Amino acid sequence: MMLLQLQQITKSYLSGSNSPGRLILDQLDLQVADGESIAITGPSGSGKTTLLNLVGTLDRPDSGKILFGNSDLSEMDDRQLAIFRNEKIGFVFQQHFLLPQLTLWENVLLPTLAGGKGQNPESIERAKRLIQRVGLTPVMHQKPPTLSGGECQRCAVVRALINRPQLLLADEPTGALDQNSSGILADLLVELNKEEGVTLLVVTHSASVAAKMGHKYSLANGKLVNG
Amino acid sequence: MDKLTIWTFVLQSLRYYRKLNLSVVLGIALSTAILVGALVVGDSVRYTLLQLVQQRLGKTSRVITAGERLFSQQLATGISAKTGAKTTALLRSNGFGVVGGGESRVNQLAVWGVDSLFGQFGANPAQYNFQENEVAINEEVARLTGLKPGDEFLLRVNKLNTFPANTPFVSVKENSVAVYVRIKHILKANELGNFQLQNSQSAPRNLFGNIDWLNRLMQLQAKANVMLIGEPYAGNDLESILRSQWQLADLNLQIRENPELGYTELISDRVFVEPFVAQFCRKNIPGANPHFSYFINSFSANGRSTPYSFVSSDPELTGQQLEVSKWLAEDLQLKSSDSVRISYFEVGPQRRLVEKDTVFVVTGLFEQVGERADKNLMPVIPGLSDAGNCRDWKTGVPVDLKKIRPKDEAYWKSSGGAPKAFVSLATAQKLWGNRFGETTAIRISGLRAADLAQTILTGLDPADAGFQFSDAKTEGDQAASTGVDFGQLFIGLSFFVLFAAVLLTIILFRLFLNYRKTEIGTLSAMGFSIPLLRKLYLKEAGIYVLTGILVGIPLGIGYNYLILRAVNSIWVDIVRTSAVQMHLTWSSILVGSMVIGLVSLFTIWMVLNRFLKRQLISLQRKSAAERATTGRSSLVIASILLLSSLFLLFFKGFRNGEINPEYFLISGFGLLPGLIFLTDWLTRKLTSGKTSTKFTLGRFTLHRMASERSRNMMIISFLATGIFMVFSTGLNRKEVTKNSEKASSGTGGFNYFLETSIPILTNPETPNGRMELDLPEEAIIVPFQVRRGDDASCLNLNRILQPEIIACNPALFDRRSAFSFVSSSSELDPIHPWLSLEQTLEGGLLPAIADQGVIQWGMGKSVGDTLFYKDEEGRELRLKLIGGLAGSVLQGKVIISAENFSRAFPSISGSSLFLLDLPGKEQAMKELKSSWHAYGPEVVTTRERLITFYSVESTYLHIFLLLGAIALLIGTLGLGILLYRITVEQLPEYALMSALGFHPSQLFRLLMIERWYIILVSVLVGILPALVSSLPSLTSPLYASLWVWPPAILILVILSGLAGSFVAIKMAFRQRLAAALKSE
Repeated sequence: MMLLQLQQITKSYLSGSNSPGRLILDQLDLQVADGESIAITGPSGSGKTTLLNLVGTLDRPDSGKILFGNSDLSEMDDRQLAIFRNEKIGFVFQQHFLLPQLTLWENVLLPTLAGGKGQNPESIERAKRLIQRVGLTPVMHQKPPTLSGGECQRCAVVRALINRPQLLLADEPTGALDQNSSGILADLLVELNKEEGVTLLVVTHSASVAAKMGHKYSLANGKLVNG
Repeated sequence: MDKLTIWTFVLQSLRYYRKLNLSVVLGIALSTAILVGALVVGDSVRYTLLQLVQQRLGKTSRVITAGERLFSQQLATGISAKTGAKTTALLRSNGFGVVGGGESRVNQLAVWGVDSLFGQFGANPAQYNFQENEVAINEEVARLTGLKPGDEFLLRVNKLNTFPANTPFVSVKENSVAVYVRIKHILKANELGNFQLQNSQSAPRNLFGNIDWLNRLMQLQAKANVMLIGEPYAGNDLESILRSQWQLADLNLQIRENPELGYTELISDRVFVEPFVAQFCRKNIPGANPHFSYFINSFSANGRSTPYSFVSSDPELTGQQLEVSKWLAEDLQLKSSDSVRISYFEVGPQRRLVEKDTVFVVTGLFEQVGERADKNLMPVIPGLSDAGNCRDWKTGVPVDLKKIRPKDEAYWKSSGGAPKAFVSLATAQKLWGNRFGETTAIRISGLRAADLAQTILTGLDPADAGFQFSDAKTEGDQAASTGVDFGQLFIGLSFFVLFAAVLLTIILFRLFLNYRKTEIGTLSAMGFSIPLLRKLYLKEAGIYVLTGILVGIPLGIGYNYLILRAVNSIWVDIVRTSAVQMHLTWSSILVGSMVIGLVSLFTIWMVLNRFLKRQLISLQRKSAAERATTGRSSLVIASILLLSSLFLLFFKGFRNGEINPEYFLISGFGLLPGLIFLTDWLTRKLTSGKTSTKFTLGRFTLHRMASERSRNMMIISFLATGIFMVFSTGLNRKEVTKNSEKASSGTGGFNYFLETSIPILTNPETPNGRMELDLPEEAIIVPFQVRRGDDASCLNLNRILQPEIIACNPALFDRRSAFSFVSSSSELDPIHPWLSLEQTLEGGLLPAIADQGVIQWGMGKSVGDTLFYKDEEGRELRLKLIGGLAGSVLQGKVIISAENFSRAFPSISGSSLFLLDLPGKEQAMKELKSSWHAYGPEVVTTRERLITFYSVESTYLHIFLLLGAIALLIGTLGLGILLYRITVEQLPEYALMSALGFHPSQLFRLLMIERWYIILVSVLVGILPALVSSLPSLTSPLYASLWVWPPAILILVILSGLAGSFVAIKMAFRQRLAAALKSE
């Protein structure tokens, strides 16, 4: 079953005051099946992050359609998109973006506030389990500035999964980590893909990270190519 | 495990960002302090005014006055018995003091005759027991004269009479009495030292003495003219109580019985029986016969003349019929049908007399026996009716004693003032009736004196007799609480400070959001919708706002304390009292806090909304092309604005060699945006020069400025506009004395404004009057009659409903087209506006003119509105405002014609206010003051008077400038924060330059140059148009001190701006440049 379909997606950006817009994505097509893990590689400026932002509904395409399951994302308004992101999507960025004022535990629970309902016993249990799963239980009541980059990034992964998203989007998730932490995080993502059944779409420069994913695409000249 | 809630999030964030939040809190605290402070100033002034009402009236609840009428002190005793309240009668007159044999004088003294009961209305009753020639003065008089207890000085008091001083035929040449008095003590405000009935916050000049002593001094017997009824009386039945207690003497009436001729007669101390009494008798007493006797100058017939005689009325006669005594017939050799010319004085306004004559036809002769020989037909005229022979006559009309023959003297001795002729009552009333009455006696046959008195006393209405009952305390409180609202005033004056504080809050909050934009982006990615994010950050902001308000309230109280200190000292011109006390009310604190709370939350909501939307848009990046602009439109707009402003300045600003301030102001308003657009164009031009192969640091700076052009222009526009607004408003002063020699100016072309403590009865408009008053031949004088009332000028903070009425001969102003009108109703003749005062308007309204400022601000009315007063007989007197004068020396008063005034207030005698055009000025005025010394003249030049009025506005503008300077300082603080933010944003750029080998000091210099440019250009762009706008004020010799302000404030702005930039850059650089580069 197809979870995500990108059809004829085009996106361009301004490059200067008088220059015409620079085409980033050109009639791009992509189909992602439920539970798949996909890596997208490509040179800097090729549009990888743009593609991820479009899928994550942080940006809108100039043209084309994005279908999530049977829903056409372009037909949703801002409020519906916010709900969609909260329920269906998990984000992991290059920087962990944990809120420095909150403990790891609180950071993990943060997405549950977006729905307005707060935490139920199930989400509390899930948070505990996931934190334990990524080995952060001993530091769960500490605040991010006191922890290592790897710990923070693992916490960011847990935070992305707390609402049981169907799609986990990771934008250079290992970009700010050392080689060892990078490997651990990549493995963790792949494991969670399997354990949680969450579809994984990773944008990365790292060949080793990309190699761990089920499918690999390369983005060049605004189009995706296999391999 | 702890659950995470929105509030946990908010509280954690508050704790974590407390340092950053502190600045937002301080911004809100500052706004709160300014608003709460201003509102508390309003409360404090209002409270002080209410306290002053309490001080000036003590325990007085009601006041009874009777205009110019004197009533018996005994009346107070009767009213006290009926009301059960403490009641005291006072005798109030005007006077002046001569201290140290003329070393100093204190004019405009309110002289109060009081008894010991009066003391009970204040805090220290013992202070009001006075011996003969013993007085107490208030602190104000002591301050002005330096007098101490035990000192003596000469007091001259306006002598009051039971009849109006203007009464025809009554001689009142000496209308003042002088006596040496010794000061017993100096009365404090809480001891009723500042007792006064006028609604004013200024301390009066009071002198108190024993009422019986004052009565004796004026040759009166137990008279009073003011009555106080003490608290807690609050009834509304004073009128009926008074009616039950008054006696004929309180109405200046007497009843005489003549058993021989069988009549009872009602006469008046005032010569003429007042119209309301005559009318009452005619309507209510059957058989009441009015009689009218008049003193004529001569009878002439057959080439003969009989001087100075009385003519009386006979109801049997009609038309021009004249019945003459045999004595007169013999003297003039008259027979029936002969014509007799009677010459007499007609009574005009003031004591103006016009000699007229009328021809009568002899229809009968009578023997002087019985009724025809009744000496009582001559009214009681002090100085005349009591004279033993004609040569002792003291009359109020010119009498040529040479014309009196021995036979006339003999007649006077044998028959007194018995009439030599009778005319019809109607003719007598038509010819000789005047504003004082047209009856000299009312005779009733067969009615006992007691019954007549009873009928009159129970039937007459006290209001008709001019008695007025005022709820003085309530009216005073109302005038005080609805007066000038200092709260609003200081909010207005602090507008820029408030604006700057709110702007600062916005900048700080924007900075706060900027710090957390990553957080916002992350939350957005997690699915936090904009409404949820807004709710989250508004909750957090709500706590800063609340904290800011709580911090701001005590700051506001401190700010209020500073303002009040200044108001009581250096800014005293705006309150005219140094007694303003701090008074806090919860309502003002609450209102101020709520307003700031709502404004802050609203602005924060706006900033937040805008930020959140932008934040999301920034995630989406721009997808439409931004249009590049060359700046040509800026040049075009700048050229149009600058050229048109300069055109206005040079072709309209200077007209006929005179400066036209309005065009300077307009030019300034055009120059400001013109210069802003020009700066924009120049900045573009500078930075878009030809590309050179050489790349210097200067070029680099220009490029940097180009990249920041829109942000820099925003800063320049804001700061320059702030500077312009503060200076152009604060420095813009009126040239109040400009063209003061011109009749159309606020001086009316007169150079002196003179008030006398004792009214001058002589009419200075007549040649004799001028001679009597030693007026130089070329002097032009306009005398005013004055009906005392409240001062409605800008010097009074109370809301005035019945300003003082003054009256003059409008022709005197018309002749010189005096003053200028800025507003008019249809009743005002555009060519001869002053003569419009002489008309009677539809519905019996009387036309009136006042200063437009008084109409608008003092009374809260507009031209066309009607003012309501009571005339002397208690009838409603409606004055319609038909014209508003441009700021004049007559500010605070309402002007009507002398004719109308005399009809409404016939008893008010003499003039006590004068406008003088006196060539020779100082020397001539010195001589005039010497000639008029017995009247206690207080002289100011009309220029000084205008400047005094303008000092209020001028002080407000000074305050505005000062607060404006504070606002600019806050603005530069905001600028510092903005620059810090910009610098932090640009840190990676500097880090890169540092990595390329630039020394930090080089980078620092580079940045400082850029900031210098922004600040200096802002100052220049703001100050140049402001100086143009204010040039007329700055070049005026009146405001030479204003030049201090521009350099002082500008230096402060430049220094604080530079210091702010310095600190901002230093703080930004404290973050390691290398770290910035790494993060990039």
